[in-house]
Amino acid sequence: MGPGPLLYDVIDDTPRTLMKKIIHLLPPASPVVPGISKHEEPEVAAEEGEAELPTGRPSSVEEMELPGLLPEERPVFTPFTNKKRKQLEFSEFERAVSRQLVQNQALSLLDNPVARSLSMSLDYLVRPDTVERRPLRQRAENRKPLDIKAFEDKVEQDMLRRKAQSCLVDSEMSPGSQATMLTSVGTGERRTQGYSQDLILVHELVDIMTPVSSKPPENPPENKQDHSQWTNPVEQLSVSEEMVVGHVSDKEEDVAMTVNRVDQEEDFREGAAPSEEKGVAEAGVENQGSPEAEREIAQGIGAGSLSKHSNPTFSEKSGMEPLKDAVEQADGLEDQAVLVELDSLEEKPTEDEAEDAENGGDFMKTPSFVCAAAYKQPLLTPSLAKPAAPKPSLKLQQAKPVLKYSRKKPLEPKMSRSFIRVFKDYAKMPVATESFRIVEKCTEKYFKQLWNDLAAFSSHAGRKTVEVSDVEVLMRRQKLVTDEIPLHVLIERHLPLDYRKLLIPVAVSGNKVIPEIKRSSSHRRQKDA
Amino acid sequence: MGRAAPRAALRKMLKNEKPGFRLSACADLLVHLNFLLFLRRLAEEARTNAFQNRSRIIKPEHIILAAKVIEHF
Repeated sequence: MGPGPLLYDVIDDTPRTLMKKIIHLLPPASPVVPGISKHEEPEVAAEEGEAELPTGRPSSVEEMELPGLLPEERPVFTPFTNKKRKQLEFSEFERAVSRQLVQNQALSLLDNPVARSLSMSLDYLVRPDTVERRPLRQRAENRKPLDIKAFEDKVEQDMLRRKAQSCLVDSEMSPGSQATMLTSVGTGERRTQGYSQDLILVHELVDIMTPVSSKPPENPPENKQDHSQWTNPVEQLSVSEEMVVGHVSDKEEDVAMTVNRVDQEEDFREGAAPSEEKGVAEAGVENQGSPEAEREIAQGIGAGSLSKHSNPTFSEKSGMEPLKDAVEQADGLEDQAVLVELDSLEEKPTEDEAEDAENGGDFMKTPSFVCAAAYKQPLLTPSLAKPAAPKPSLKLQQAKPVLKYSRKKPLEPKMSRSFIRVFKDYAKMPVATESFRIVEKCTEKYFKQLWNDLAAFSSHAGRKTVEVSDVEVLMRRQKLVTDEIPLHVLIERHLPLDYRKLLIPVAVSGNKVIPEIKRSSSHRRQKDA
Repeated sequence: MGRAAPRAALRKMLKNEKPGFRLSACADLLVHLNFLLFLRRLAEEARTNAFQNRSRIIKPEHIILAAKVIEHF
């Protein structure tokens, strides 16, 4: 006779196993627990004799309780009991479990419910990890509402100041306003509401927007994050509003991107002030409709504070030069560059794109420094949509060789050799040579995402060094490491012996473990005697 | 597989893209492992695509299809 619908065998179960089962099954706060404990005693007493009565009560109780539990709870119960149970009970238990599962519509039945339940239960536990990681974005976005108000106030102040300073501003206001409204609306959609308002204010001052084509942010999630970071500094900079014209959308993206990258390392607050200005200045430059703006924005992020508007007589070109220098410094650029940008924007609100194209040509030389800050190539290309055709080609031509040198040279030869071999091995089929180029592109993209994620994990942990735990979390997210396939198994499968030794702790005589297991860096000393 | 993992190359990559971050000692090995597994997945998917197209070699189109299918993260 088996337990039937019961989840335990009345005859063979010991009181200890029953208690353990119950403890596993039920949360301590469950109202049903007292009921169960009551039933426990009679069960124990009547274990051998009264099979009927106790079975009747506990079964009903348990069955009633179990459906109320989360499906994951039961799986937790399973592995424990299975160890103590005979094969027969296990199969019966399986049946009961599977029946319960079906009733609850929790899971689909598998041949091996134990493994399934194992994976389920662990999934349930693992999920909080990923959930934890998500708030990364939310935190950033929460900043926006506050920034906007201060930002708007400052914007108004600056507007007044600016009007006093230059008459150009006034002339620009009327024609610009309409365009700005349009662009700001467009950008506002992509950014938070508050920011669009700011943009509107800015647009009123400068008139450049016409050709703006709002492009969807290249990396929306990234932009959002960047944007939140950026709005902080932005609000401090009232000037930025004026600079932001037309290309706000593009600029935002770039600024956000660059800001994000550069500022991630620094304090957000510290970087905020300079980055705002840079962002603004760059935004202004962008409005001129050139990829240069993007570059400068990236560079500008390191620049110093913008606070003052001055030198309305700067020419665009002269502005570019200081920008170049500013870019070189990466961090801690000076106001001049930004100011120049701003001024140049003011001066030539009505510049044609053709003019911009010319200046853009000069500007394109600067990108060499841009690559140091962040990869802007993808950002730049979309922004080129607005500018004339010659611009993009010019820019790309000049940018490519520089970027290649700085980024790809050390990597390409090494990586290509290894991945060609690996790919061939794994494919087990002849591979066309052109397809290797595709594979290379894929690996590039893959690595970019990889580094971004790893950096996000590390900075979430407040670290600047990517650790083993970060990579492990990454692999979990990629479903490479699951509860069924722990990391060590993967290590053993794929890495050569030397690396295995490094990664997997092995116990050696003398109470030593190689490599040393770190509980946490602070407790390192205490770990091994 | 006696292949040396390009640890220095990996560190340079990270330096280029994320200037402030560093890789700890064994993390780069795991990153290499991740890369190998990614390549494996890509290759298997590409192989499947090639079979479906009844071709005996893996062509670029198969790989592009495979890359689209593989969801990162």
